Amino acid sequence: MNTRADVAALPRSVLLQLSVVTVITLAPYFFFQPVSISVLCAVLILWRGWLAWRDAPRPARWVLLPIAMAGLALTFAAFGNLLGKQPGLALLALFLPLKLLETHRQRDARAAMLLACFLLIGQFLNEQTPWIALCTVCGAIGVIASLVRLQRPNCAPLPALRVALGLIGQGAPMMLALFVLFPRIDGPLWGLPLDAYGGKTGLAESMSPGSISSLVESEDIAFRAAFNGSPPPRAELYWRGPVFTNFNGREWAADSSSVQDDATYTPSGQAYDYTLTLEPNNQRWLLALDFPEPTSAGHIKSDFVLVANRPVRTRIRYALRSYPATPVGVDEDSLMIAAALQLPPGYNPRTLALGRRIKQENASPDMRVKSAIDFMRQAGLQYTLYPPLLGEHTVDEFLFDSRRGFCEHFSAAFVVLMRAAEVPARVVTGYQGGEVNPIDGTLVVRQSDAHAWAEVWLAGRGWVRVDPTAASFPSRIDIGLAGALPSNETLPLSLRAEDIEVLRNLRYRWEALSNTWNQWVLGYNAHRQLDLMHSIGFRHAGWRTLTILMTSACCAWMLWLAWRAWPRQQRRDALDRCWQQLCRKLARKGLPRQKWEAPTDYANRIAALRPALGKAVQHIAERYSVLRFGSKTVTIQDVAALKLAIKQFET
Amino acid sequence: MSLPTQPFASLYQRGRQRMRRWMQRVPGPEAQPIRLFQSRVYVLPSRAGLAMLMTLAIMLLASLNYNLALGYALTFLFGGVAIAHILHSWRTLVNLEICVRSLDEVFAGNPAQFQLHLINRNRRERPAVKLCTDQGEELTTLDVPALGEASAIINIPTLERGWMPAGRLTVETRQPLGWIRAWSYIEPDARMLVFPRPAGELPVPENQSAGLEASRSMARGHDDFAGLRDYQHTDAPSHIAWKSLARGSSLLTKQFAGGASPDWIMDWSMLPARLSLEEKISQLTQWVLLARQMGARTELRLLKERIGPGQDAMHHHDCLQRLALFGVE
Repeated sequence: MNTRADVAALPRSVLLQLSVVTVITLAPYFFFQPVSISVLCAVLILWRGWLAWRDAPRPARWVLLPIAMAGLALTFAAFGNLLGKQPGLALLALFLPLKLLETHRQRDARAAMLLACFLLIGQFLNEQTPWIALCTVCGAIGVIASLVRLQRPNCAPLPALRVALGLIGQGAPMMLALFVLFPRIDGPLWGLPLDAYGGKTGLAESMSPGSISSLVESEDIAFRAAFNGSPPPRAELYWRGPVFTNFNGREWAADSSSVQDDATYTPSGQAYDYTLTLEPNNQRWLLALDFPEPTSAGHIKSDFVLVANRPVRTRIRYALRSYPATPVGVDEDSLMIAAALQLPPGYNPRTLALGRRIKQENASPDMRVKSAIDFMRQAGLQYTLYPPLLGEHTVDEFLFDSRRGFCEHFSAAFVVLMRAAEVPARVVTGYQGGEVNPIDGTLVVRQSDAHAWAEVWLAGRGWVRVDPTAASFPSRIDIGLAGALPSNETLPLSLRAEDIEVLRNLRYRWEALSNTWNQWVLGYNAHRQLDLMHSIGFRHAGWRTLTILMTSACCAWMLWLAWRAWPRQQRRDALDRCWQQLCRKLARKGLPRQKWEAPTDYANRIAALRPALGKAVQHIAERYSVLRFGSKTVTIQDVAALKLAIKQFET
Repeated sequence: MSLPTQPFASLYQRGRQRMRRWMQRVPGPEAQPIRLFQSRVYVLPSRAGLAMLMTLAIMLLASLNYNLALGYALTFLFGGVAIAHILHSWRTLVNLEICVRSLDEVFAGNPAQFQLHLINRNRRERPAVKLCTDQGEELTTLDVPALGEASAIINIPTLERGWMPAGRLTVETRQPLGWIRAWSYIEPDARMLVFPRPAGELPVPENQSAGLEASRSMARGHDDFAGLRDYQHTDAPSHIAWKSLARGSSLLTKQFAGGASPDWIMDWSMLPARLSLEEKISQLTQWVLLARQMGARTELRLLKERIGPGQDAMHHHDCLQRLALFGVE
């Protein structure tokens, strides 16, 4: 059914509003998509705004079609394909301004707003921070306000905004009920595009010079740990990630052949209980303090790395108990020990020579370890985020020529030196330290806390952690990265902010808030839902219970809204109320007014029936008629006088 | 909407008709003002609403699949807004009072004008209340202020002469977002007499004997004196009953049987036989309108009926009314 409003061209101010809503909707996309696409989007929106401002007609189809093709080409150039999450979002982001450019009727504008809804939800695929949520709420308000104005073009923007806010206010409790009670499921319904989890940062599957120092540039949070009781001292906070045994001269990689699926050790010593919330890293390893008790979150491999069954693609939470003092690997497999002695032939001859000398000078392996550490401490090595590029013999060049490196250089050099001295050794990567947020007491570990250290195997003691970086620069462990680096090096903002009290406080607050957000909004999954239901008394809250609860909550809210919305009659005006009062008084005396009787007719009838009352009633009826039907405007005084007369009547 | 297979189409049509009959179960023209009680206001999603519903379903699926906590929140927020929308739309119509009154004269083929009056006794505004014909054509859209009224003139197309009721009208609104359509059917008891469509090329039927008769009556004196009636402004001074005035009665006019003979006699039976009934009526209407324009004194003869002679507005209206209802009642 076409009506006038559907067919009529949209007024200028509505078109401008639609452009503004488009800007709000696309704002988060500008941070995630290629610059070329963002620029094209911005140009299209500006063009639309300008056309609307000038009241110019929309561009013809043959102008828009090449632009759409160009957008398609740009997307293809940026991503290499048109399928998948990111190219899809980029295309959607381009379609919205394009649709707006060809919009001139209500129908097109409605389609554009549906597109905006898709874009609003699409940006959650990139990020779900509170900022994005705020931006989305603004976008949703904009979409609703635009729909109000599409439905009623003569409505000004501000009243439309008020209507939109009112609607959202009435919809919000429903949203809350559905959010909490809608049965959640774990895992996807169908296969996801390959790039669905791209762009997650974290420890890599291999280590080469520069791989960790580039990770340290990122301020992103890797995980948070909440300890029951006090956390271990800083020097004990080694969060184990992938362990690398194989070395090919340049790159370190895990040795899959010697690593068994299950580790065997008996936990002993002091225990630490903590809950870890891991940010998605698209890898299988779960970070844990050395050495965790078996847990349902994953299994512990024989290199003592806690590994999940699936790559970590969403933020997960798991409880752990670790025993840092546990002796491990005392009866280590000979295969593993052999792998921990492998060196690629022909690389790093100077280091190998040094290793052989250390071996000759020291009989016992732990003396060799000590003398290697001493050598590194006295070699005048420099700890820097920006080491020079290394050539073929990476370890030689680091130890004897450039003498500048980051923790991956230190650990790699140490392990090569140890192997040359015939002490089994391997590289361990992970995170070291972290900082306690004083607001909520959680330990926050960032990508900038990424670290690489070494483990040596000593007969009778098993695997022992040695941190060559810490040995050379103890402040790296005691204070953190910022304390160990030369003061003239630029640091990531999160590390620099240490100097400024206010900034640090702000950051703590923000991170405590986002932790709450992660735990309760983003991390609200099937498991949490079950816990919550359990805590409010629903023992076995299956989807059936949840559905019943959800439906009843929604119905209750609808009833409340309906009761509020029920059109209430205007109460009779004051004059009417006076007259009704008189009628009631007379009705009590057995003289009810007939429906058809006008005031004066009624008074005359009463005068005929009851002459005693007649005079007064006639007088009041006369006054009422004059006020009601006369041309004079009725004032409050008039009504008050009539009221008084009726009140005095009867007495 | 067309459906591909015949049996389903007919089933769909029948269901639709039955639904419509049930919803329009108004027992004929209603006394005014018509108050829209809650039981007769219907609410269903509009086409735009169905599109939004589809969008929400897709958004929910995406949230499920990618486990987007905020995706759920956004989807549910729009869902909550849609629920609130239902009540807003419904509230816009419930307890609205509607009056429809007929206005000026209308000739068949021209739109009949009715005065529409919407009365809001609520403290909330009722924005964008739309009135449609039964065929779904928009008549007008009004914003009714809180505790106020709004009125407009609506044009309803006419086809035939005779009584035309305002008919079944649809009052609807899609406030505030257009996702939900709330509507109600009304059938106000207002009706309008549609005069016949004026048409025809025939020359005006001048009364040949009029001048002759007038002179004859003058010559013959007052032979055909028929009686006295109240003086009318247009009466000739020679016809005033001066004698009775002198006797003290009010101003009266003498009437003569043949004396005030009409200028035109518009006789049904004199019209050429080749014209159809409607053509004849159109021709007569044309003449009445011409007479009204020229102030001619006319007499209308329809089979047994004789209207007039007369030349005032009352007479013309009388003629038009008889023509409008000729053969209808």
